[in-house]
Amino acid sequence: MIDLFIGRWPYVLTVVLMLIGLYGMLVKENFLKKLIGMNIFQSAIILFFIVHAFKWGATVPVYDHHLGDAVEAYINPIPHGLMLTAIVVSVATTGVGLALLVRIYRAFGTLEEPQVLERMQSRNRS
Amino acid sequence: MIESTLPIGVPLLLLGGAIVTVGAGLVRRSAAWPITLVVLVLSALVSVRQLLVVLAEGPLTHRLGGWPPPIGIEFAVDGLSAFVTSVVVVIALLVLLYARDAVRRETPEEEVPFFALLQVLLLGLTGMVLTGDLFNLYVFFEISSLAGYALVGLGSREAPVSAFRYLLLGSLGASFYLMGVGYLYVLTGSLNMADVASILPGLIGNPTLTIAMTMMVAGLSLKMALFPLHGWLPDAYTYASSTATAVIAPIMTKVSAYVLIRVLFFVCDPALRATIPVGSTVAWLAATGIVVGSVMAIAQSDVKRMLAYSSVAQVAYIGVGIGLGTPFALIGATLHILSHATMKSCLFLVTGSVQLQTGRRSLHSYEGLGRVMPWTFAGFTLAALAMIGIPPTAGFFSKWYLVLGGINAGEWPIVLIVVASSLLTAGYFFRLMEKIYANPSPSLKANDPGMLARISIMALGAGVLVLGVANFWFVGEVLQPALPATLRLTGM
Amino acid sequence: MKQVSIFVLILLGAVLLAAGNGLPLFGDPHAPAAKHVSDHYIEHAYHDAHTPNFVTVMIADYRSFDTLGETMVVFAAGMACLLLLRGHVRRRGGVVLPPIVHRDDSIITDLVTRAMVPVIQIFALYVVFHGHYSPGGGFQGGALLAGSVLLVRVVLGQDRSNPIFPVSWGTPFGVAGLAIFLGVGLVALAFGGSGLQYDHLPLGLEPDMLRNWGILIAEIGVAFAVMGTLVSIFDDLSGESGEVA
Repeated sequence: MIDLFIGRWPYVLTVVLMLIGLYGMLVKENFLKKLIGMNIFQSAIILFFIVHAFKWGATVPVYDHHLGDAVEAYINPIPHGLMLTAIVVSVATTGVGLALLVRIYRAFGTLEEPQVLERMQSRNRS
Repeated sequence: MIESTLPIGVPLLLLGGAIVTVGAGLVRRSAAWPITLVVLVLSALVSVRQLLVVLAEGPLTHRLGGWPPPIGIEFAVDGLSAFVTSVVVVIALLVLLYARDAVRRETPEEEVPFFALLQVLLLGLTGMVLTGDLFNLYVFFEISSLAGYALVGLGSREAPVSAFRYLLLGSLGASFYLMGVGYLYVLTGSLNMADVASILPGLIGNPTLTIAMTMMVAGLSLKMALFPLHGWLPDAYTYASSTATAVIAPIMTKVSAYVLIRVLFFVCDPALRATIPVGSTVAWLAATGIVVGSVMAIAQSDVKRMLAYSSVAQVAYIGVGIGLGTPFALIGATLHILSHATMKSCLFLVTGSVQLQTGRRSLHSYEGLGRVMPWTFAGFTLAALAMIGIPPTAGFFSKWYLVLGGINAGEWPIVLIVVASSLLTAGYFFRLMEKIYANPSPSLKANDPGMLARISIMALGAGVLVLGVANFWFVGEVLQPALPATLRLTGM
Repeated sequence: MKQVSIFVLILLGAVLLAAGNGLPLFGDPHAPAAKHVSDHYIEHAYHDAHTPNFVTVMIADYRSFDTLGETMVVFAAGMACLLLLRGHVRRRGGVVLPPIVHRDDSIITDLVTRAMVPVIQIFALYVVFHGHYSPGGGFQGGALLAGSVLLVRVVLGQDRSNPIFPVSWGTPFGVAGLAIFLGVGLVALAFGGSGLQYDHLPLGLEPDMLRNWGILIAEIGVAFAVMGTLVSIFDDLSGESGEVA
């Protein structure tokens, strides 16, 4: 266990961030806050990947003539590339989420979940 | 050269189709439907040709960018993926026939983005099926999800709320899947499915691997709406527009089920699977889901919502098959992907037609509709009989194989649940049938929908019968060769 | 409900921390993730595509289909906002949202915007075209270009930003960008390569330079698509598109 906190502390931090995001998604009642929670959660996963790209003593993954093809001289480029895609996905999801929120607000005049549900019910009954 | 481009044929057609639809839609809005039709017909031809080639000559691969795996992304088609692709495209094509009039009446101003997103959705789904790369699968997963959220969000007033919840849960599921892929990548250094599969046996015993697989299964189950992660489904299907429901309900959850099969049975080898207790958990949760879904379906008075809950139950059948993991159970699961896709799209098309014609949704208001819309409800009745599992419809055979699989695995309680649930299904469909074929009130004014919609409903209804009758050929020729060698039936 | 959520969170946290024990140590140069495929990229990327930035080569060549998919995700989001909002504004009433765009005639914001926008745009072009040599590329450049347009939208208001980048341009830009990217892939396919295999482009160069050019064309396509789509998403969200289109 102690190994986890000394040797892999960045991983522990990403887990904490992930839980913060999930807390926002599950517990908060405002739809916008839920969306922000989702964003935090996705960022945590992005950081999880980036953390594993790091190598001690290595530099940015851009070719340098002084370093040549030495593998241990550059950090791992794969997680960076993958996460570029994941960031775009997260931006796009947020955009669609906001569009849905605009529609919800126009229909019900609020973004608080209990009130929205209440207004949905009352309209169905009438 | 033509053969080698087959695996990317369908996704590229749909990608190009979406671009052309939007481009042409800027000039002429009414061009959207014909373009989509052409693209889907071509995709259907390509996917069927691909299936035939794969069955005759074995798996095909296409290396994008010319890079060999695991350096580049590879599209790999075997019997199973070719089969699922064909199911997706053909069902979507039939629903599209119905969609022309429905979309014009339900959402007249959004025709262009609607059909573009429909193609984007199918692009994402076929991409998920055909890709041989775990991360590429995530990208297509998100493409299909985004299109799905938007299509579900367009509907009644409540639709955006259910779509937003779907978005939160769907992103959560995708994130879990991505996290699982992340663990696998960190442990193996590769993202190609075949490559990862060859590295994983050396890692048996690593606790992280178990958690990685669990997270991937959890993420995919969320997307598949497997009990108890089905919370988003009933609302999403109920409030969405009829075309969106008829496309999304039969296809989307099935593709996630396919990915689950791919991950559990193709990426994991049997020794590894034995160390991960995912299978039996999935089977038991799914069995519970069958009961819960069916009981909830009986309790509904809105027909669309009833069908949505019945989807929860039906997807759980597939979950049972995957969880049991015996050869018969897997055949049952894959066959049920096809049969449920056919019958559910038929049922949702009929409820959509009724809603368009009369605005009726509740169970009681269906009284007598069968007399005034005879063709439509002939298709509905066939599909409903298949849902219950009456021979010789398709639904009977998939359940039959599931039961055989359960007996093989010695899971008697699950066998009992699968058999007993047919009674529950019969319960809610017979109640509906009784209303449908009752005498109509004189004020009822409705008739069969237009030619195109009628063709699609009838084709799907007939498909249920044909699939049932032809299922032995189908299982022997298509599904058997598609499964991994260790999971094939011997002596069939 | 809240207690259940917190219980789930604690459970998940424990599971995730347990998963950490099987992971390689932080920064370990011999971790599996840093070997295998990663080695190949570092050793070959520069020679394969004549491009020093390994990440650029990876996303636009080795794994270019991911990037095409990513562009498609952005496009799908743009279409989704269009579907959900554009027609809706015109057709139905409902609760009116406060405007995002304030027409506030402050000379300071006005002047600063006018001074900054060209700088942002030139930097954006640099990010797109210098992506081969330094961190950057199509998405980042496209986002910056979109940012410059949005700054004009927010500060100068709809009337004065419309001549610079009309609302009706967003979607065509997105379509054009995607078509450029897909086009490169299809041309390579038509000339006997696989999809997106840039060394089959008919430009009469050495394979590594062909890949270099292929990456650049793809990045330009991504930049167009991202710029157009992000602006159109903003227009849909702010409700501006409904009044004009």
